Amino acid sequence: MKNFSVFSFNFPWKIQRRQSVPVWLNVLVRLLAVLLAFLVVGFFLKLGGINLFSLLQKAFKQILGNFYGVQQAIILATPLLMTGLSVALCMRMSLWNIGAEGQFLIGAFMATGVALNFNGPLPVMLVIIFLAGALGGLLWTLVPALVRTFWNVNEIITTLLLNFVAVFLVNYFAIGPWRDKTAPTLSATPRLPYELPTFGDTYLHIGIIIPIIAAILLALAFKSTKLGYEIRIIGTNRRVAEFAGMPVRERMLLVMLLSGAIAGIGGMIEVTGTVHRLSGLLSNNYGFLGIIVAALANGSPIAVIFTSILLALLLNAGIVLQAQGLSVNTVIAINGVILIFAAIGESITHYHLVRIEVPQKSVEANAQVLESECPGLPEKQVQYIKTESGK
Amino acid sequence: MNSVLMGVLVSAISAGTVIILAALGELLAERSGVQNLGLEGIIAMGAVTAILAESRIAPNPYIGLLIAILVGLILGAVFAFATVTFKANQVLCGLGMAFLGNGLSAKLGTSISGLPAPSTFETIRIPLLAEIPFIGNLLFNQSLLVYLAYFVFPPLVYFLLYQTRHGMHVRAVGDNPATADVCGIPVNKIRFIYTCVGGAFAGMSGAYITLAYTPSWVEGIAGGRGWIAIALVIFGAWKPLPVVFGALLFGGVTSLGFVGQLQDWAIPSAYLSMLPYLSTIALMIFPVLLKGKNLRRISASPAGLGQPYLREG
Amino acid sequence: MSKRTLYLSLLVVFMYSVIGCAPQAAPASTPTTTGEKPAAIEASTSPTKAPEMAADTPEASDEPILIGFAYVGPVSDGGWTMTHDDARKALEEAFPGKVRTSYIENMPYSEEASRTLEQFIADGAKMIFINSEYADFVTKVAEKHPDVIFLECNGHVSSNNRIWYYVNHWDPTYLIGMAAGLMTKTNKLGYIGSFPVSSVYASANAFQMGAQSVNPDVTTSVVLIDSWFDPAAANQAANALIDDGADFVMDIMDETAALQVEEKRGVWAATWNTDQRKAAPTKYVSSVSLDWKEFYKTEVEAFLDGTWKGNRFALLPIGQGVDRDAWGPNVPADVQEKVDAVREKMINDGFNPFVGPIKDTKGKVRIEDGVMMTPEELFRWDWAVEGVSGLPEN
Repeated sequence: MKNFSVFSFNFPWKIQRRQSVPVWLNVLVRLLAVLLAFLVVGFFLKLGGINLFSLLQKAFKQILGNFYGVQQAIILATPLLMTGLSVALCMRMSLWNIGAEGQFLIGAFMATGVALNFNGPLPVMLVIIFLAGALGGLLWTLVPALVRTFWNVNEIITTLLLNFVAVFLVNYFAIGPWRDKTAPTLSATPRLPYELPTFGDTYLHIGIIIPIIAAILLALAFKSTKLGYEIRIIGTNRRVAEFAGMPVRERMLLVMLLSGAIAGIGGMIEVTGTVHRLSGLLSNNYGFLGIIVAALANGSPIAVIFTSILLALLLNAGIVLQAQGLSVNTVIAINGVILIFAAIGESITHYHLVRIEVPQKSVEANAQVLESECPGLPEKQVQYIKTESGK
Repeated sequence: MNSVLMGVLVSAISAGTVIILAALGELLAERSGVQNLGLEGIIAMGAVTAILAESRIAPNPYIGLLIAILVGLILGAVFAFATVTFKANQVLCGLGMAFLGNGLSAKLGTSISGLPAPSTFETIRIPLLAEIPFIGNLLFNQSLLVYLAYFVFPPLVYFLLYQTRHGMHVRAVGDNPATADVCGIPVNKIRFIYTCVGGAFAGMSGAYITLAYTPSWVEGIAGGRGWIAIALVIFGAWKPLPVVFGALLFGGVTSLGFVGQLQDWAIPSAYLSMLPYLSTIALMIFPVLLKGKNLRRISASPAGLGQPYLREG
Repeated sequence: MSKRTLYLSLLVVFMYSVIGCAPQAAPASTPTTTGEKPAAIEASTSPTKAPEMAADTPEASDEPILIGFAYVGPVSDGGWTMTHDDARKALEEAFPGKVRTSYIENMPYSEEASRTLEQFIADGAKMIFINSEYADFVTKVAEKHPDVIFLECNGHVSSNNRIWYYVNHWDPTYLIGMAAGLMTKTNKLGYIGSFPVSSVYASANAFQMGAQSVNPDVTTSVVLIDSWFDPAAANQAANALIDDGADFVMDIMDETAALQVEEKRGVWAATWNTDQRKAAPTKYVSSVSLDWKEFYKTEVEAFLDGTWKGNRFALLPIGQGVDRDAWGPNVPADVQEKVDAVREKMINDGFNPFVGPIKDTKGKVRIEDGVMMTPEELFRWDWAVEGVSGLPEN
């Protein structure tokens, strides 16, 4: 056979798509992805003489070894959880929200605008600020959502480009009209007069509960409401949903706007609970990290809680690692590798190998018969028939 | 006044080159059905390796270019390996590649950060054309990659895709991989190859930044241009010539923002800095507005874009 | 239900596998590391155990004290952060055996900043230099750890264990402005700024005032690129300024893209932070060059002697932390002479050129006749002087 290549080789196994993927496999594959990413990066660091794993071990000891470290991990997990939920919600519908970064920032921006310009009793103000944050995130998704729903304009790029715009907008206000005039070089607004109350003497504020409630609500909605059912069907197969008479456009619009609002609330929590001042740096890549969170969680809201904590721990470890001489860029690169491995793992879980029943020999024999009977048959078709008959 | 407008044009030409190179590669990959969102990271890697090659191997821009193309090719292959061979989700892998490229490039570049490139592309004067009054000297006294980006690659890509049998196969693979497969076109092979080619183009774009445009390297040098390139592929409806036009327009709008500041337009600089991004979004929506009802035709996206192909029996 | 418990248990297993497996993995893998490198890295990173114990008895041992450096950018930025990192290296050389340092790049302006500072302290740091203002994030940590010293560049708050510091960059900028005023032919100067923040106002104003002092017809156009770090935008901004007629362009960027455009198009170039003549070999004029070494040494020495005091700020004058860089090769001798005469006056006689009447862009007198602006006023300058265009009015 002259045309013996990978593409025409008759492998005695074949790859088949699974009907459904068991949960344990999903979890296992993702954990492996994280581990593998560390192994790969660890290998390269080893070449440079750095032992990543002993550093990591130290890092986790420092983070989990005392209450402060645990608090910090929870505080860091909060924005990640919100952006993660935002991305996961869209993922359910096979949509991509790459703009959680910008929505987060605009949520914080609107919250700040309200907090700096209006007065009222704390509980009332907090409710208004909360709504302002949600509205901000929602507005920032409005255009991408509308053009995606009605004109099919790629939402990945529109949401992403708006991230850049959001940074410019927030910078303009934080350095210009809203800047803290008592701190000439700060490039941020004054400290907000309204803050989320904290639990006792800790750094933990009530804002850490909101994302958990949101995750549970979303999970319940997916599981037991008509809306959740529709979203799932539309996400799996839009055509089927259309045939079934589901309001596909309305649902898409709703999901995208809701997704923006969730990210916006995340920004509001961050600015009123943790940072207390608005600046263009507030979003701190949380929107992009949210994509990792959602991908590792496979779009499941409950799983997002755990993956966001996992990522928060990893990021906190990154800080410890930096103090040990590992640069922040290594941490960014590790995140990239995790994402790629997670995606590969995600894909692998959908397939499994099945032994081909027909013995190898008979395929070869069939082909020979075929060739001898139809000598004029083009090589490609012989190949095709061969592989098909092999299945 | 006239010199100012001329300045905008010239500025747009060099700013546009970065985007055209990356966008044409992405266009080829997307035509075969693979959307590589990692462009930003590959550009960053191309940019840093081009200048590293110059300082480590030889101060010759063509060596830098070659290495950058090679690095782009390899990263393209990594992406293809994940998405074509392993059928992994293209969006996730793309973002992963963007993270990886940005992080790794910043790590690699520490030694040469902020330093001017050891050697840059010389400008090549095109004899007769450069004599044209006013614009001649501005348009036809450029470096090699500029000519390639404007005059060589776009027609070449067009010719390849629309005038050759092979190009037809590529488009078939992007539009309907299953049918293409039945016709005996090697779907995954073509996708793999064009994803690599796309990576190589992105590497080239990176080399242009550090060896001709800025010419120096600092962290974050890609500055979002990879994303803009992807957006402009959509604006250009996956056709090379509109992509070139879009890139020029983007470059022009950026430059116009700075000119605007000099003309004392009463608009804060932050808003002018938003313009390029807002206009790119507008450019993506624009084709739809133009053709209104005929949605199916204008969306023109390769039907199999982003979907991995596995022959199922 | 079972799904959730599965996730949880696997997560726990994973965390423990990372924490628990590593010690077994570590000894097995150490012999395989080859060469001198690992040892060197170990040396600078391993003594974390010691400070944990030393924390109880601060004065006790001969252990070198740890000084943390939290940087807003990467050490390889070739600009702002690099100048601070040079000073960090100088500290290690100046106090061998007494001081060791560690640093963190790209510290985010978020709660992570507090976490980072806490991390330094957990590692045993007694002194932390922060090269940009992190305000509340520093306050929170500084209040919690009164025994640790915080030095914040560009800040505005001081306390018992915290000071802020900056440089009188407007003085060397004024000098570069004088050179520009003398060297320009078109009487149009360009300035590439980042954001409309006070350092940019002060710098552009000083540039214009220096130029105007020797050339009354001169004006300065400012272009803001809304970033500290965007070579492509700086490139386009420089081109736009030159197309507009500017023949002397100064920038406040951390990189050299603008200088390279200026070299190519044959206009004079000046910048900030460090010596960047390589980027514009023939057109380089000078830069506002920063040098934190002496200041850092003084502060560390004071700490080691036990004489360090808080509740103050330091604005380093010209000649002691900030200066004009050595003149470029093609700056005419008479220009150098004229400008350096003023520089001498600044260094020796404390000459302050920022004296009223100073008008803003609308012609309103902001600084009355004969009134001298104080360093603090210059530090927080937030309006543009007459002759400067392109900065928002405040």
